[in-house]
Amino acid sequence: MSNWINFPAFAGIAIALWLVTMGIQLTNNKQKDLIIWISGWLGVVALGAFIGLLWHTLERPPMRTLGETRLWYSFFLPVIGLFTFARWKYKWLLNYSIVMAVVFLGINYMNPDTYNKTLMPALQSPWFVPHVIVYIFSYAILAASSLVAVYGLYQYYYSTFNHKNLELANNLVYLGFGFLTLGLLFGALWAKEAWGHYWTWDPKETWAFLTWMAYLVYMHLRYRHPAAVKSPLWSLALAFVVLLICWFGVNYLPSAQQSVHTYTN
Amino acid sequence: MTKTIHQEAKKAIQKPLWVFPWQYKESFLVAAGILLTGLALQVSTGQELQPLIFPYNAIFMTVFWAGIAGVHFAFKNNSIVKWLRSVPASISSIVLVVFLVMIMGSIPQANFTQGVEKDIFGFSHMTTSWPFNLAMFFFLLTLGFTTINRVFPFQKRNIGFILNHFGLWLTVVSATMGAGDLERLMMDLYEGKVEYRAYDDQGNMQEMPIAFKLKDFKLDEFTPKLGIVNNKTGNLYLEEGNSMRMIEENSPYELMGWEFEVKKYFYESVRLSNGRYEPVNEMGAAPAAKVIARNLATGQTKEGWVSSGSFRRQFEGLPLTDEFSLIMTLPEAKKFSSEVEVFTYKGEKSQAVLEVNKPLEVEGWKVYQLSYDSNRGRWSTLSVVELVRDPWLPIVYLGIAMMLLGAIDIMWTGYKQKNNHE
Ligand code: HEM
Repeated sequence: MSNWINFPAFAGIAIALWLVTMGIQLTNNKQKDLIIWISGWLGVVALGAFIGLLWHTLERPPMRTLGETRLWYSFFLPVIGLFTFARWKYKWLLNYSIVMAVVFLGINYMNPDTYNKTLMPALQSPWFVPHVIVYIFSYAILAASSLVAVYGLYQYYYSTFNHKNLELANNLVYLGFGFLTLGLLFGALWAKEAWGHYWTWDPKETWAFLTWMAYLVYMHLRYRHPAAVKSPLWSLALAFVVLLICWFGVNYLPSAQQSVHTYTN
Repeated sequence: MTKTIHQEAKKAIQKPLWVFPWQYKESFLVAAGILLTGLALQVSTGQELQPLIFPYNAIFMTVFWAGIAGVHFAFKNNSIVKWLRSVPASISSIVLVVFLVMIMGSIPQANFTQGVEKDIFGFSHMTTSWPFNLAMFFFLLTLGFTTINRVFPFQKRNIGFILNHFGLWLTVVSATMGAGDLERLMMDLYEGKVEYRAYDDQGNMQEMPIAFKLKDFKLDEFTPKLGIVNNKTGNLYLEEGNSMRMIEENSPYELMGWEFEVKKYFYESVRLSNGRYEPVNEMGAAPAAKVIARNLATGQTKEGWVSSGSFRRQFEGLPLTDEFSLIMTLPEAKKFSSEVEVFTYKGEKSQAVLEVNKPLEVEGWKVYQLSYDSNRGRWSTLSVVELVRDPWLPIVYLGIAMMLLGAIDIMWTGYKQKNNHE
């Protein structure tokens, strides 16, 4: 039986719990932080349970279709938001990540995925799961870092810039960039096993490489000019544009007809 | 803090162009010059660059590295050398590469897509164009000078830096240089026959030091799916979660206002003259299912057989209305493999199974299961394998291993605010 039928129930529970996470911040409740932490994680668990059940019924990792990858983003974004909240108390980042996760769940609700158990032989590899998880995790963290940049630019132009934001962006970028490197390299090692060569400048590979280079620009600007504000923020915001093209846009570019990685038909 | 930025900015404004130390302006002008030179060379030669083959690639790589090291030690404090290992030069080279790769990633590439017309600037065959290769050279030059400056004198705290920067340099240089020595060939294996000839993508035949005898080609399939097709356009209806539904007996589901239930399913069957299907075990037997469809609005029911057909059998659909029919898709491949006997020129003989994602290694070649006669599916007696030889792979993997460790270092240490940069 198709598991996607249960999707609205699980997603609804997760969203309700996350609304508590956000709503409680408006009150003066003394246990606020604890409630944020608990409801946030319970929401993550609800979504995680759905992913687990889906994995079980599909008899393959649910990482093939766009709808399935959106599930993972909705899962990881709040995780990152909760960790940064616990570590640095950034409420706005937590809220943004929750809103993003809810948007992804909404997209999945509007465009139900076709229930599809098949998995082409090239994807049946021990590299499949680590490659995809590491990528999705990295994109989610880098997306969060770019949100920090956009927020910082807003502060810079319309109110007073808080330098702490750049430190947060840095922490996120270093973590996300490390995962992105792992994702790229796992992909290369896997491609060698599956397709005979580790790098073919396939459009999807090409754009992943561009994303990687774009974040390099930010890292080096930050290193060279630790006190600068405007240029690193802009470079981080631009890197996000490249990331978005890599993620959504590649399928629509003229070059996409040659990609081995666009599995959607 | 803002004060220091303003001072830096002021200094940059006051310093006339091309007076050392070069900053971003000079760096980007150099990058633009490299781009223009590349374009001019491409337009005037009109040729694709050919990759170097052994030993020229090995010589080039050695000279490149020795040259960087030599210049570094001889002219360590020369202003241009200092500039080459500076962040402004690096960023301009990164941006130049990004610019060209963005073009490559956006327009179809001749080496990938058939029938792409080559343009005069080389943008449609980017990896073999002058602009791209000059840009990469500039990129690797700045990366090389940056790296060597931190390798000597060696300091423990620079290990992460060296892993990242030297790892990348090694990976990119050896992958580029190795391209000329990479061989990719294909072989058509027919059941029961010994084959020792392989052909490249141009169709040139060559004899190999290894031979294969295909003993058996095996293909497992997923259960086929049911879907609804528009009789006139032939398009599949894909709007709902159940649009393409894998066959499962006695498990009713809803789609497009109908309820469907598969009553009987045979993986291998034959159609009898009375319209029914019976299971058989013979070549070309096709999957078939008996389905009951009930219109949820009118209660009208339709009952009948659908079959995906095969290279030997007719396909059959179940008309629901004048416009739509229920159909069965051809089963998709789940796993395919070739059982082979392997012979080497030394006279050794062995058995092996080739499978997707599980290449075999013999005599320096990696052998991949590539494809089969898709028309005949699991009755294919042809198995196409690919043979790949890449003698530079160990160096590339060394670079990749360094970068993997470097990535872990980046995540572990994170950003350290340094105040002792040049
Ligand atoms: C694997 C990708 C890369 C990573 C992870 C990386 C990371 C870093 C880090 C963390 C630093 C700061 C060093 C420190 O804290 O001591 C740095 C410095 C630097 N990087 Fe990179 N980088 C990468 C690629 C590149 C590339 C491609 C270039 C040049 C084209 C480059 C040029 C530089 C330069 C010039 C510096 C300053 C070095 C100095 O002042 O001694 N890096 N890099």
